[in-house]
Amino acid sequence: MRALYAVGLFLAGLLAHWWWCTYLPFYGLAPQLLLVLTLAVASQYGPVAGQCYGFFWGLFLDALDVHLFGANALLLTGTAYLVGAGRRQMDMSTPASQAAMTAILSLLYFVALAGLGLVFQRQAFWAGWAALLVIPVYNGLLAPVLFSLAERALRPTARPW
Amino acid sequence: MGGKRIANYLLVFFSAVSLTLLCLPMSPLVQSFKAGLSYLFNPIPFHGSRAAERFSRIPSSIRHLILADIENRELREELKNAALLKAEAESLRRENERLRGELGIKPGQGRLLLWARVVKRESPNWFRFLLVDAGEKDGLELNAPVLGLKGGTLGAVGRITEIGPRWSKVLLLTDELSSAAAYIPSKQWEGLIEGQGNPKLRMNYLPEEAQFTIGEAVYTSPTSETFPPDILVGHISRVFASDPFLAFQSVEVTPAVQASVLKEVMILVRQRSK
Repeated sequence: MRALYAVGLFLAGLLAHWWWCTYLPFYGLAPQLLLVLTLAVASQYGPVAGQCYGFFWGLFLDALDVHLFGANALLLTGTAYLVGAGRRQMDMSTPASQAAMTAILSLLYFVALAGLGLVFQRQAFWAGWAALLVIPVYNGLLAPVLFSLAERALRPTARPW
Repeated sequence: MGGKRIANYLLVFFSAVSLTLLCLPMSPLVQSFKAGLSYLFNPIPFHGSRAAERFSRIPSSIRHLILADIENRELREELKNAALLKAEAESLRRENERLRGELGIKPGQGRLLLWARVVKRESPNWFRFLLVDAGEKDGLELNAPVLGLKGGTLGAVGRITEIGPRWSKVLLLTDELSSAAAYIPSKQWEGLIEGQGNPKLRMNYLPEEAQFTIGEAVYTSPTSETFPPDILVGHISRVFASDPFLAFQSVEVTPAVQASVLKEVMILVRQRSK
């Protein structure tokens, strides 16, 4: 049962991310649902669960991308580890703190992705100022909702992983 | 304590796998892994878009049905005209072939047209790639040119860079790694169109003495390896200041068809010889 809930959240995340990116973009911009969900899982259920979700969600993003195969998997894993390991030191219990932390980490995610692009393909794959400035805010606004949904979806699995 | 140790092991393992994928993107093992992942994950956008389309097809009211009927009648009328146009085009093609034969020019390669739906695009990579629902089973090949039709304008969009059985990835012209030979027909100047990772394109290697007019059309060149000749690429929107260290000029080109708004694309498939 526990595994079923976990797989359910994983597939729901993939579907939601694909659906939002394809059918609900706002001026070509859509939130990084999988990044926010990874943060949600890592902050509530610890680094092990966060890393597992982050790595496989990252592989999904990489499989559908044409550049930097492995970059999203690496960054989502790293982000999940940092958030999961440091969750006792960070307050991510209120909607405001969840939104702020998500926005900051989204911005860092962009920078890290550009860094990996420079290292591995000599291209920063600059997504433009609009994406850099709007998507973190978009992610931040969605964070409280997604944190709550992730918490509800994994609650039946009881203890933190 | 045990959980922390597992987290550390996981971090090392996942990071090692990711870094291997990043460091060896062209190795057979990583390519096979990527192909396996694509087989695993691509059904999500493929079947998802099928389901979304099916839901959107359900008419919400009788008004929709009546409008569809009116549109259907209009399209039938247009189809009648299309038959005439097709006959004219066929006659022109035959005449073209005859004249080419008389001039000794090698005949152009026949291509078939295939429509495919856009089933996936990624927000930060909006100007880089698309996933479409046509693949190997539809006869697609690598580097097949992809065109878009928007508001009656046909324009070059990109080319196929990865193929699965029922899906393909389209590398857009606006991607940094894209380029195509193009020319400005009014002066016959030829250059190389290159993507910049944003909505605009850059056309390089134009002669130093060239003079440009904003709004001039840019077409794919007959020398292009990927695209058929004379497909509209876009219009000149800016002339970059000449660099004294470079022996060519560059202009900015606004694509004729913005790939980010396309719901369907046209793919030209090589006609197999009988």
